[in-house]
Amino acid sequence: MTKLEAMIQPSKLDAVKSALLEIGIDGLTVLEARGHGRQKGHTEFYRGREYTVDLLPKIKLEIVLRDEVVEQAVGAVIKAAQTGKIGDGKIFLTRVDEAIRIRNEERGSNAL
Amino acid sequence: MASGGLAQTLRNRYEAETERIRLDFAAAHDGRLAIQRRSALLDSLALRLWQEYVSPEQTAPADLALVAIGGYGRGSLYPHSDIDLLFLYEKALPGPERKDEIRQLCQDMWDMRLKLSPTTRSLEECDLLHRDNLEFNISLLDCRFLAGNFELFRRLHEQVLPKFILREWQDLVRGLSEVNEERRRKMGNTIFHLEPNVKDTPGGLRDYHLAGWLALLNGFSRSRGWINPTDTFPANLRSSTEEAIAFLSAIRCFLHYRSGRDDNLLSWEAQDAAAQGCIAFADAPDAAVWMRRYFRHARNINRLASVMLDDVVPARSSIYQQFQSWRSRLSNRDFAVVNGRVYLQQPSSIDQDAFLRVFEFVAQHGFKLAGSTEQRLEQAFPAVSSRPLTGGTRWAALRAVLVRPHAGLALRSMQELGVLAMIIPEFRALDSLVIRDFYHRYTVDEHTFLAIDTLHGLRKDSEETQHFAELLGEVERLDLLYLAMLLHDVGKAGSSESHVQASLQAAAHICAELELSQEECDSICFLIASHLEMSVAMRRDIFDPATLKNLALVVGSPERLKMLCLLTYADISAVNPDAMTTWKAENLWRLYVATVNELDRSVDDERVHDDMRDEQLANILRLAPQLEARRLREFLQGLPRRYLRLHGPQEIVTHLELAAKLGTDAVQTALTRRRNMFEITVVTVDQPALFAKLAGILAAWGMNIVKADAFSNAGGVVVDTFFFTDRFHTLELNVQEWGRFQRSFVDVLAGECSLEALGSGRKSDSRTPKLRIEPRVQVDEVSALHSTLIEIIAQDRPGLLYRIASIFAENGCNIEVALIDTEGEMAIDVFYLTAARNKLPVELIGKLRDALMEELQPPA
Repeated sequence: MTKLEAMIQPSKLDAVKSALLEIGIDGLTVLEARGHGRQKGHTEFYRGREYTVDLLPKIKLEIVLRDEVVEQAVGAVIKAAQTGKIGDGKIFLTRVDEAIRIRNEERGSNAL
Repeated sequence: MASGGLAQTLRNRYEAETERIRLDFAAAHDGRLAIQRRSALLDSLALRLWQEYVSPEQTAPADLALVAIGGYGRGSLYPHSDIDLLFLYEKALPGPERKDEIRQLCQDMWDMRLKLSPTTRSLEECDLLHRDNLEFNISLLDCRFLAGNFELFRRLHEQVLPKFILREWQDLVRGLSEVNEERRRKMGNTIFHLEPNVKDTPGGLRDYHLAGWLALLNGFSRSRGWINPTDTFPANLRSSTEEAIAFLSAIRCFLHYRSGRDDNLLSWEAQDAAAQGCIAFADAPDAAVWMRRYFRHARNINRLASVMLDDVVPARSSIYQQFQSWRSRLSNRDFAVVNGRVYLQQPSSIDQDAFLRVFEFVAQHGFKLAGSTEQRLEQAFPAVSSRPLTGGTRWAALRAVLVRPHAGLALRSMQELGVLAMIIPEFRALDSLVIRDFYHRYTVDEHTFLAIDTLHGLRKDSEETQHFAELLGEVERLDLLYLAMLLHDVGKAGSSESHVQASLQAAAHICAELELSQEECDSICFLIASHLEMSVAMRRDIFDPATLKNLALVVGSPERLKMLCLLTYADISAVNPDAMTTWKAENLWRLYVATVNELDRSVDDERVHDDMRDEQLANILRLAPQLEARRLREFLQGLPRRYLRLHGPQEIVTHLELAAKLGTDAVQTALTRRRNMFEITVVTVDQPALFAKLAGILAAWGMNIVKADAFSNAGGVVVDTFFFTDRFHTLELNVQEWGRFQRSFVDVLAGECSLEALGSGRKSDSRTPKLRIEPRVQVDEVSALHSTLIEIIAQDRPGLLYRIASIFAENGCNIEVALIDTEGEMAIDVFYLTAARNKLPVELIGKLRDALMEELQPPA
């Protein structure tokens, strides 16, 4: 099993959700986040005060997947979230040792 | 255990009758009948087992009585509720033989899978206050004899309990109140849950029981004896309570039968099933319609519990009493405040004016109406509503509520009593209207009231809401903002797919009914039409220039942007408690700041040309049919679009009429007194240092410029508007000076009088500023295509604008557009400058910056 974590632009959330749903992935966690990579942000002035916008709003998705659908999911996220500009985000994949469904204590990929 | 034959017989009989009750409920959905029948079934079962184990005589033995308590004692036993039984003895503990009899009785009932909760207590123990088990004391309030020594029960019911209640009355009521508060707190103090618990959620069955217990305790304190609690419920609430209990009882039975256990959660799926199963409906409604009825009933039960708590719960401490006494000093000729509730001073004669003003009082001070006051208002309502109110009166009454700090409290009361629908008939359709999805937790009317609460609750000392609280303080027409908030979802009651369009249509009609001016109506309609724009923009890249440009085009002016931002914040916050996260609030604020800057950056480039829509022209021409469309187009040609946003159609007509007279008099002025300041508009042909001269004239008269805007059209006609405060009350106290004041503009611009001569003899201002503001000069050479944008932040002082404009004039700069604003002691000025019709050269920018910084340094 593999955990897919994706940092995407908030404006792409609906498109990414739809894309994942289309390939049969309907369980995911969405977190509101802020961050930057090479996209550094900028400064706005308002009423004499300086607002440094260095941490930009992002959405973090977390999904645990069966190994056989990981590449498909990665492709779906990229296709839906990509604009070609700096700030599109990143995807991280990590191994998951075990998954357990709390309701009936099912384990392994059946619990996904 | 009973002999095998009897046990099986009893079980068969019990199961058969239980199934009959279930089938009858499934057919008729009469919850109250089902729970009464179940109670009767358990009575006969308990009696039979008593006869089997304890005594063949129903009224024996002498040392023991079997008593139903709690819900069973009330005769209201739900299909899978606990069965509370009390084995009452006099003094001596039951002996081993008696204990064994009790055990066997209980065992048989447990073997039938009945959820029995037995307790064995002496008369003396029933006379004790169990502080850590108040539920036991409360359950005795519903005690009912089943079997055994009736005299023992009679002594409990007629002697022990009355003595106990009268002695422990305060603690019982206080304890009930505390337990209730804890329960409500756990449930978020709201009846609005996506999946309510029909027993424990506010407005549920527990609130009804609470009202009954409080009524019982209250009855004891007055009549020293047992009363029928429902007889003492407020008369105006009895009928609605009856209906609500019938509904809730049916739901609870339905939930128990559906799950096969004591499950009181009206889950999403259960709501669908209840609607499809026609629980409490003649035919299967939509689940949203079904839940609407639930919330209406829950609101009525919630109101009953609240009224009973108000009537019964005593003050807690002397400090509390002192506080209440202080608050009661707010009583006036019409209304009294007692124990935190509003009473009518003269309930027997309440006229239409007092009827409406009571809600203003509630909105101002935040006290709820007493139950008797609500009753009196309900009685007076038919007479009051039969006399038609003018639109102006309705708006005045509504406005008086909306702008006050506790508007939400007053509006809820008005909604419950039908007064809101009297003022705005369209609001009737929103009563408990449910939008059924996992996002919208509240009914549409409650969402609206919560949004208004949110605005009033914005605090400058809270880090999360500080920005928005400051914005709220800057809004000029708060009454319009609150009215727009009240009406923004009024279209959701219709069947139209777009609630925005439906709300817009309804709002336009309502504004006309309330006799708002065209400008006021336009503001309301703009806010409602655009109330989702910022939410939509937040789902895009909020720093994308295209997003900002689009939003700036939609709002058109900073004032409208402020109102829209606040409306958006409140709208999202009131969807559910978690909807407005810190992340979203931050994004909304950033979007606001970026859009304000976009608005300021785009003023010079966004100008009126031949692409002006005929609809805009038509709006203006409607006000002045004598004007020709051609002349209007000529006047507007080349003016920044911001001009159209800042000035309503009537003002534009006035400016055009002034411009038409320039052939006769080269300087035209219009002076108006506003609520807290004056406004002067000068229409003339552009000349060097014009803006500086105008600012200088005002400074010479000792006026403090608060806001200003300066625009010019393609023909070189300038329209400059200044809002100023009259520091020395020259115009306020001397109407005859108005003429001289206006003439001074003509004289100075014609060169017949100098500014120095005008200002000689004027007192200088020696006030010390409360805050030190560091000056800032921000130059933007990129945003505007044809001019250089300069933004200045500085310590405000009389004559500041004159000095700034003079520096520009002295350096050969022409002011194409000026947007002047003041926030407290901070001057915020935006200028679009050209030199020889071009952007400013770099050297000139440097020179200007130095000169401005020197001029703007605050006094040491």
